[in-house]
Amino acid sequence: MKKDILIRVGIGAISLIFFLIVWDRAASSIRSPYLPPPYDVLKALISMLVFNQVDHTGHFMSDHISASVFRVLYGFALAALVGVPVGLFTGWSWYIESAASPIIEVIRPIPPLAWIPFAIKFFGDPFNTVFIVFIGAVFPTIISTVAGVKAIDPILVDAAKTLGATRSKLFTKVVLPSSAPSITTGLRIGLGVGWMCIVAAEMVGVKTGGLGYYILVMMDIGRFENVFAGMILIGIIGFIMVATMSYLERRLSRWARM
Amino acid sequence: MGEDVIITIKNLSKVFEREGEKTEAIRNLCLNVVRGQLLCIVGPTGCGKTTLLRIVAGLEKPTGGTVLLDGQEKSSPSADRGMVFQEFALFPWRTVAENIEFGLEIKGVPIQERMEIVKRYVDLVGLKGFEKAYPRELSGGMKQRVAIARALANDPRVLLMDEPFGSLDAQTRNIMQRELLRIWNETKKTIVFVTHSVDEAVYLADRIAVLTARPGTLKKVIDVQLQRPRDRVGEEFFEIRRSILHEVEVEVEKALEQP
Amino acid sequence: MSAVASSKKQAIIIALVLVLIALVFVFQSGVLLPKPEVAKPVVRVGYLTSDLHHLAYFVAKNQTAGGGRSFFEEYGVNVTDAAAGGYANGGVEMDAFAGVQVDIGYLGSAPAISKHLNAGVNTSIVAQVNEVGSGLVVAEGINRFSDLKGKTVAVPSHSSIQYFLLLTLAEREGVEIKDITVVDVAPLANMKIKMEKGEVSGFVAWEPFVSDAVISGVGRLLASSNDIWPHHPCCVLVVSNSFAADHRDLVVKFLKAHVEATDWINNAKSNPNSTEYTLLMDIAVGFTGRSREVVDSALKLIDYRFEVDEAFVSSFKAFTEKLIQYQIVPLEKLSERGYGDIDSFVSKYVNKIFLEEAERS
Repeated sequence: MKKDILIRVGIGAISLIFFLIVWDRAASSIRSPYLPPPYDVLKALISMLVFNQVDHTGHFMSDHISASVFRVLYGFALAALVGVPVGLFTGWSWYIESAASPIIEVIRPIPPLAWIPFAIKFFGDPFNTVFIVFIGAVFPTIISTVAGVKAIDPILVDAAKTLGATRSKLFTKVVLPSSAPSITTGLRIGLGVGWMCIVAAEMVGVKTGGLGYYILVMMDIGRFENVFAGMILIGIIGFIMVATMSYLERRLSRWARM
Repeated sequence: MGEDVIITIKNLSKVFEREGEKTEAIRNLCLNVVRGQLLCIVGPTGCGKTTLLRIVAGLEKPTGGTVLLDGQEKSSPSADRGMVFQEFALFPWRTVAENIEFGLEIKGVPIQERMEIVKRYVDLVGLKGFEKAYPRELSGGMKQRVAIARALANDPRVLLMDEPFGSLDAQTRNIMQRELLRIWNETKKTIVFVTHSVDEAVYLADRIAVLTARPGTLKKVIDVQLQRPRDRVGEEFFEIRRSILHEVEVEVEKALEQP
Repeated sequence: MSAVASSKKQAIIIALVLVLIALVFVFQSGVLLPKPEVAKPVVRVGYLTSDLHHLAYFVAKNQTAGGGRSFFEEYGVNVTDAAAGGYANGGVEMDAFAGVQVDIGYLGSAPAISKHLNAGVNTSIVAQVNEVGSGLVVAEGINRFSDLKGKTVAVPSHSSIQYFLLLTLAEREGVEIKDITVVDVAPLANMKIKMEKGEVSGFVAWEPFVSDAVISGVGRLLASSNDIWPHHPCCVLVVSNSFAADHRDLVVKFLKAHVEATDWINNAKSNPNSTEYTLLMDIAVGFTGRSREVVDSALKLIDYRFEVDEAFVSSFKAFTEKLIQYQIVPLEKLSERGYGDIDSFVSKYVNKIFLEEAERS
């Protein structure tokens, strides 16, 4: 087992190095500041993180990171609080599904970006950005939760009934635990989508910085090594968040894996 | 009649409708279940025996007729009619002990008492030591023991069993039949047991009800008066088995001729 | 229909659809169409959407202003919009230069400097377009600049001239900039919305956003940019160096039209009762979509100038120094791009040769 992990990490590392080499070659043959070589990006990353320099907007990188992470977690929490119950009720009750389904299906395809003017008009900082994250995260949560509820083996419901379960007990003791794996899957996907919305969300006009804001500002003045550094940071942080959720997901659904 | 009847099934009929097509599963079925007896229901495939059991459990509603439990009409499921399913139907997110205490939790039985009851039934079905195991870690036979313990721990008035050993291999099946008799002997529960194995019915039952081919109705009721433990290869066993098999086979032929 | 026959039918339909799509692509690329006659080269012009500062472009295109034919036509220049409707901001327009999609463009000095130095976009400045034309708008309750202490002020970005106007004014008024919360708000239309909602107590924007807010009663003009930094640079005319090398004559002709259009604007502005002024308003209202009242007020704050003179060069240099000082352009970028110092950058990047030739003939 240990050996497998080592091999996997080893292959992954080689693949990453290969990717960096390709990037470096491409950058040196294209020779455009719009595609900075990995070394410049690394320098930018180090000055941002290790030396913690202030940028021209007056923020430290730690400000940007914490601002974005706060917004995403806030938006994600709201998406979970709204999405899970909505998903549960929609999956469980045919009537509620008939009512909710048209609304969900019409709003879901609208990209979070399109909500920006609405968010600016009606919400202030931080809720305007949090709202965009919320919109991105709530739909995967709902969809996955509904699927989880609908996938319940009907024989479990039958068994519970013959053990005396009323409709409400069925909900708490059968529906909820049975759909828990799907719920956590939906939450994990929702968190990932919510984090991806951060760049779009921070176009809304933020006061305290943010990684998306940082990238936009750096793009604006043409400092692309910082843009790429910011992108990499977004990728890394996103990975950490989703990996954490995945771990939780695996723990909660151990019983579901044969 | 003098018998202590616990369940009365009167003029029961069930018609299924699907995409405009009607299927009559049960027609005008009347049957009594005697308290404390182990009653087996046999019949050809499609004769409606599972449907009958589900209606008694309250999981389906009849199109006509009634089901009485101790004189009270019953049309929806509740804890007084426990059920064991062929697919085991254990809650995969709960351990063995947690599965068994499910009904007790719903009833609001306090923790201490629950633990005692669970322990008693774990011992009864012979699963001591497996309390913390999850269903996916158990064999088929063990899962069914858990299902039986779970149903019985809830103290139902009658235990309904729908081909409970159908998913088990022949050896395990025989073992489980013996185990069921032992458990039944200790708990004295009324059991209604649906099976398509005549062998199994003759081995287990005090009384066997044979259903006709679709639409199912009661064809014949046979009392099995053999002493337990029964000798599967004994002559009397063989005789009873032969006569019941004959009744069933006639119905099987009829079923094959149906569209 | 049997399974085999129906899947064959499906395959044929899919193949037909693919052929159709391929045909559409081929036609779009013009490969099959007859070759058009070789026309005079077209100059692709960049500008910013609805930006009143770039009025000279629209005047130069206008046939009535030119008296029957446009100034561009008069000097024999075929122009077309590089991007229909203009670019969203100067940074994006400079990116388009980098992508060789624009030959000549109107945009702000800030992106003209930062994108060239930071991202190496190969351009030079050949003329001015306008000076000043911005202002600080404040909400009710703000009576002097120091009232903004502890409040929030919006600017287009921390690399815009507007931000530096704010810094300059703060310094002058003895207010530490860290006592003011400065937020980036873009697009600029959002600044008025935020002021209405009370999220910002002031903003620094370019016209017509200033006049729009003032006229709709959302805020008051506390200081015009000319008050803060007289004759500060604003928009400039930028040319792609490769285009200029290949089509020197076109650049000169373009500048002739630009000079004449700019003069025409100033003429019309000085006679507000003339028909020229009415035409000017028509043109401005036409491409900005603003009301006449707003345009009228906005024009008063904007100074349309094409000259590349000492005054411009020195204020341009001052702005560049600020950009470096405030880390928007790291100092090492100068040498990375091949400039010894700021002076050599300014003298090379601001290229008045074409303008001089245009004015001579």
